[in-house]
Parts: sequence; C-alpha cells; structure tokens
Amino acid sequence: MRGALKLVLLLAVAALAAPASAAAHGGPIQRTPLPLDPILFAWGAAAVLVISFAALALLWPQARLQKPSWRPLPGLGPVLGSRTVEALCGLIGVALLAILIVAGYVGPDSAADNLVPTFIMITFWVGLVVLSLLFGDVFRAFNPWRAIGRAVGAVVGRRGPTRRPYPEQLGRWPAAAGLVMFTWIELVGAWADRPVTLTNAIVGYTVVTLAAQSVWGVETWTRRGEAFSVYFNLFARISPFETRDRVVGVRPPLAGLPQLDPVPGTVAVVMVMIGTVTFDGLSQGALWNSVGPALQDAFTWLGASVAAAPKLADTIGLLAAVGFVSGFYWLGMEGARSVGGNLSADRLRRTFVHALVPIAAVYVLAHYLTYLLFEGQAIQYLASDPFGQGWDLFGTASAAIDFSLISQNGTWYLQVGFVVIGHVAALILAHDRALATYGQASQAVRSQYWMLAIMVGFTMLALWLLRQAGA
Amino acid sequence: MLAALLVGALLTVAGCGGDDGSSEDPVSRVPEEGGLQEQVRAASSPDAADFPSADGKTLNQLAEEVRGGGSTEVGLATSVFTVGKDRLAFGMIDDQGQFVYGPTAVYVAPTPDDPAEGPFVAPADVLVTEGRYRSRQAAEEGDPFAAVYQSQVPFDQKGPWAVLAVTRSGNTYLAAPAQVQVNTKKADDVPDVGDPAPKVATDTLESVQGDEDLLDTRVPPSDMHRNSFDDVVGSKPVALLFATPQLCQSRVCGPVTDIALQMKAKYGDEMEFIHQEVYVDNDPQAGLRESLSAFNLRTEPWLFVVGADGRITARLEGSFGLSAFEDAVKTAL
Repeated sequence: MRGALKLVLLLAVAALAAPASAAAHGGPIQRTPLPLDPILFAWGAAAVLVISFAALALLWPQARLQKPSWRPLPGLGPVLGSRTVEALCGLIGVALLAILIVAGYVGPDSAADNLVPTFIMITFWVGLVVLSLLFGDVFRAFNPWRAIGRAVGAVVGRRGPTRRPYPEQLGRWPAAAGLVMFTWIELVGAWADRPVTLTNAIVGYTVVTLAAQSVWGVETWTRRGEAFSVYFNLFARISPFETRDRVVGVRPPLAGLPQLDPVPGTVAVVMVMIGTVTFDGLSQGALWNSVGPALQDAFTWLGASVAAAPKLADTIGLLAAVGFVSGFYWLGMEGARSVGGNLSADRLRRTFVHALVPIAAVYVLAHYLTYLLFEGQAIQYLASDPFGQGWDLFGTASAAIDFSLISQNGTWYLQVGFVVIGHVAALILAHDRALATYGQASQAVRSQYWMLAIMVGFTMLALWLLRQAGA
Repeated sequence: MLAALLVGALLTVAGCGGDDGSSEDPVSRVPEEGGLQEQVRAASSPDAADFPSADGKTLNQLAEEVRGGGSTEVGLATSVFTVGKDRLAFGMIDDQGQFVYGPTAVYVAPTPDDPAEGPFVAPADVLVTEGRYRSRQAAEEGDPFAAVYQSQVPFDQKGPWAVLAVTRSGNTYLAAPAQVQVNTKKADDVPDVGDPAPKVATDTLESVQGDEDLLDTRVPPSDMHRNSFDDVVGSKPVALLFATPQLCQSRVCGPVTDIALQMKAKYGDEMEFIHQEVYVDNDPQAGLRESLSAFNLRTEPWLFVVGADGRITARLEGSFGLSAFEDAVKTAL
C-alpha cells in the first residue's frame, strides 16, 4: 500500500491506537527469578561452613590471631598517620558536616534532590562500611565531631570543664542506643524522606556528641559512646590496615577483632548491628507484610492514629529482630557453656562476640549492595550541586544512575558470596579464640559445635532475608 | 569553626543565587545516536507552511497528495475527546517498529471523504528527563520513546473522526491514518477543567501499611506519596498523577512519573505532587484502585492539576512530555 493511503482502513488500524488500557491483562509485578533455587544456595552455604569447621579443627591447632603481627606501611605509613594528615582529614570531615547541614536546610525538600538523605543513608552509612573493611578506621580520621572536639580542646585547654571519669558500666551502651536510634530513623521514622527532619537529627546528634565529649573527653567518648565511631571501628578491625603510634601499618585481615575489649555494651552493639539489618530485610518480605499490618490494626484498635500505628508496629519489629538475634546468640553461648571450662555464659558472650562482626559486615554488604551500587550513584550529581542551586561544581550534575552496572544474577551471586565468606571468617575468629580460651584443642573444638550452629543459623537467616527482599 | 563554615556556606549560597536549570533545552537530553536529537529538535518546532494546505481537499485527497508510506502507523496516546478543542497526542511508528521524529502535523475530517481541516502542527514534546530523574524502567528501555507529538485539534461535532498524521522526512512525507471517537462534553464522565476534583484518598506509606512495593512500582520509588490527595486538596495546588511505571501496557505511556519528579523539583515548593499507582495490589487482574474509579478513569496515565480552590485547572491523558506537564502545572500557580 505504498501509493495512495487508503483511509477506509482507518477502522481496522484504529484498533492499535489507544493509551494504555487500564483493563490490560498481566500479573502482579514479577521480579527476575533467581538463577538457582535459594534452598540450594542455603544448603550449599551450610555445607561450606561445615567443611570449613572440619578444616579448622584439623589444620588450625593453635591460636594465631590473638597477638597478630603488625608492620609499618613502608614510606607511606608515617605520613598517613601524621598529625598534619589527621588535621587535614578532620577539616574535611567538619567541612562535609557543615555542607550537609546547609544542604539540609537550604536544599530542595525532596529526598531525591537533596544531598543529605543520599549522603547519610548510602554514602556514609553503607559506603563507609566498605571503606572501613578495606582501609581500616577511615571514619576516625574524618570524624567531624572528634575533629571539632580536639580543636576546641586545643583552644580551651585547661580552662574547659573538668572531665569526669567515664563509668565503666556504661561501656559501649551509649553507642548501642545511638545505633538503635539511627536505624529507627532509617527504617521506622523514614526521616530520610524529609531532608529537614534528617538534618535536625544531625544537628541534634552533633550537640549531644559535643556535650558528651566535654564531660568525658573526646577520645573516651569517641571510643566508647559515639555510635558511628564504635560502629565503623568494629568493621575497621577486619581490615588489614591499622594505625599504631601515628604510623599506619599492615596486619593480617581480621586480626583487629581479637583485640576488641569486650566492655559492657559491646555485645549489645553487635546484636543491634545484625538485628537491625535483619529487620530491614524482614520488613520487605511476605512474613512482615502479614504480621506488620496485624500489629498496626492492633495499635489502631488500642487508639493509635493511622500515622502512628505503622511506626509503633515497626518499632516493635525492629526491637524484636534485635531481640531475636540476641536470643539466638544467647542460646548458642548457653550451649557452649555446657562443654565445660568453668566459663559463665556472660563471659562467653563477651569472649566470642568479636567473631560476629564479620557477620554484621556481610549482612550490610549483602543487604545494601544494590542500594550502594545503584542509588548510591546519585551522590555524583547531588555533590555537584549540594545546595540545589543549579550548580555543576564537578561537571557531574547531569549524570544519571547506570542501572546496567550489575545484573540481578550477578548481584545474587555476590550477595551469597559475601554471606559465605563472612560466616567462614566468623568461624575462624571463634575457633582461634576458643583455642586461646580453653587451652585444650579438643575442648575448643567441642565448644565450637555451638558456634557452628550459630553460624549456620545466621547464614540461613541471611539467605532467607535476601530471598524475602527479592521475592 | 562549624558555625563559621555554616555561615560561610550560607553566605555563599545566598550570594550566588541560583539557577534551577529551567533554561536548559530539554531536546539536548535526547541521545545523539543516529541523529535522534537532531530529528527531535526538528520535530519540536514544525511550521504549518511546510505541509500541504487542506483547502477544498478531502482527507483521502490529502493522503494521495502526500503519498505517505503505507506501513507507518500512528500510536495514539490519548483516547478521550470531546466536542471542542482537544489535545491529540501520538507517536509515529515506522515499519521497523521504530519511533519516527520529524516536523509533524495532523489533518482531521469526520470521514476520509469529507473536506479536511488542518494542518494542525504537532510539536514533539520531549519525554527524556534529566538523568537524576530517570527511573530504572526508563533507563533500561531499549527503544525509548523520546518525544510525543501533540496537537490541539478542533472537533466540532460528536462521532468518529478520521485523522491523518503527516511527518515530514526530508522532501517527502510519512503519513498514517487513525480514527478517534469524539463525544459531547456531557458524555465525558472524567472530571474536566473547572470541575471540583473528587476528594479521594490516595495511597501513602501508612495506607499500604508500610509495604513500599504496593505504593510505587517505579524503581527506585518516588517520594510523591507523602500526603493523601484528600488531605491536601483545597488547601494548596496539587498535581495528581495516576500512572504505573512498571505495569504500563503501551509503548506510548512515556516516563510520566519521572517527568513528575522533575517538575516536583522545580515546583515542589508551590505545589503538592502526588503519584497514585493504578491497579489493586499492582495486579492488573485485580482491577483498578478506588481513586481511579472516583475519577471514572479507564485508561492510564492521567494527570490532574488542581488549584488551591480544589477545582481542576488542567488534565492530561496518556503520554505527555515536559512541556505539556509544565504548562499544566502553571495553570494552578
């Protein structure tokens, strides 16, 4: 029909012309199926753990990580650890904090367009975990609150308020509480959707941190009470890099964790780290989508508003997830106590808690991988125009998210890989600590039956959560 | 120190003023590959003088005159037409299934043998948003719908109307027929400009009991679900968008939710932007959500712009680009 256009065919042709009919056929949203049945992955992961356990029992007869080697990084070590670099990093951290606060108040009131939600929830909260795992305690260097505290301390000197001794029983409990509050803001309050609210939280946290520093000292509060310092420091202990006496050096990977001082609250911090990610995964799945609404209905029936009921239900879920993880660990340690050695369950919990840090790390990596890789790319255009003024400071303001960075199958393989590696690392740490604690290799191995059960349990939980989130 | 930095940054911001990026030419965001950007640029400013006059000719005679390629098709992006001037939106699709871009106009007549009216130019309205507002769905679209043609066409009587869309390609034309059904205003039950907007509840995170998957099929989800429509309508201007980014069944839906996000960045201080998914539980077989039924909608997407007095100031059906969306928003400001 190349010649005259026969409009008499209009009626036939018109059938294809229409906007999308709302009566179209299809099914609910389907995600790409995973490459293999997740149950197979779970069994495979459990098998890897059991084999690793057996290999450790046979091939790792003596504790090796309790007093790890350390050697300075040739050339760069003293430079990276110098006061000049520390001051420079601190200054950058303070400038970033200032930029964030201004961006939060001056920038667009939209989570997608404001620098603060992306920077805090992805670049900082997830990205810094990766940097800590790779390069050590990066946050300590860039920590703006520590930098401000030290600068103020240097200026005020002895004229400042008298420092009080930090209560031993407080330990890392303030950090645990801080992490619960932050994850509540992230997962329950959804403050990331409201840049100004999130910025208010940053300002509030800054005030509280500086006040606590003035009472108990900058370094003490940073080491014990400041939530993010404690959080990132725990991950940094997995890294092969460590600073000693102002020199950056190299140690065996994981070797920083056995040096962890298990002061009160340390177990709580690790439980919060694992439990809150557990809730995040759980909240995206079918189980919570049936339990959560029922809880909300119950709260509404009790008089809570429609707006408050979901937050109350999610708060319960968040705390329950932390409680569940804690209970699981508690049970495992009760079991380990039964092998003898006259160790209390409380001491066992503190003795082995460092072994769970790699699990916390892989929970973060596996659960937030796509979040970091995809949504995290937004930082390139947000940073180029931090205050939403139409700037293009780095020439990246018109950048877009590259969604082809990794396939769904690739993501799944990476996530499973992280989970398995993290749990094997945890087994290594626990086995090494058991050798040092029990003295006898046979008793150490028997105590680790329980730790193996914990690891298999956490592995299954991690894979189930990933499946829930992707189902 | 922190205070000094804060003050400095605030002064810098205040001193520098701002540029909201509105001056950027949207066509510049269309990919350049294969000359697409150039084609869309030409398509965005058609001149009626480039098309044959309809004086005294029937639609069939015009079709004969332009000798268009018979395998070109029109993909209509609008379906609701009433007597009077209507927005006719469409895409031109060649025999390879590719979208065709060039200066375009339409002619209409009640039947192909009636005298034609036209040409009514149909400038291409760009659908490609700034990178930051591009969803995964839009980013992964293999053959993106870069621009939609839209024309204001007068239909002076109800009934079927024949349409001839003509796209200029060099010295030749590509033409394709279509047919639309025009109803009386009275027969159109979708709320129109000047009508009070139905005060319906739209979904928020609370109403879906925290299940984000039910709230938004866009990846990543947008932040246009903060408030329910019935909570804000009548107190401030609102742009209410009914769309389902993941489940749209047509090639000409266009990334309207992405465009809404870009508009929100520009006008969000003056207007509430609300996105409402279309299907119950995001399952097309489960029927339409209540809010669509309240608006008597049978197609998607739809945009309703509502003034602070609660009356509709603009409505757009089907695919609409940045220009149409922005013009609609401005009617309520």
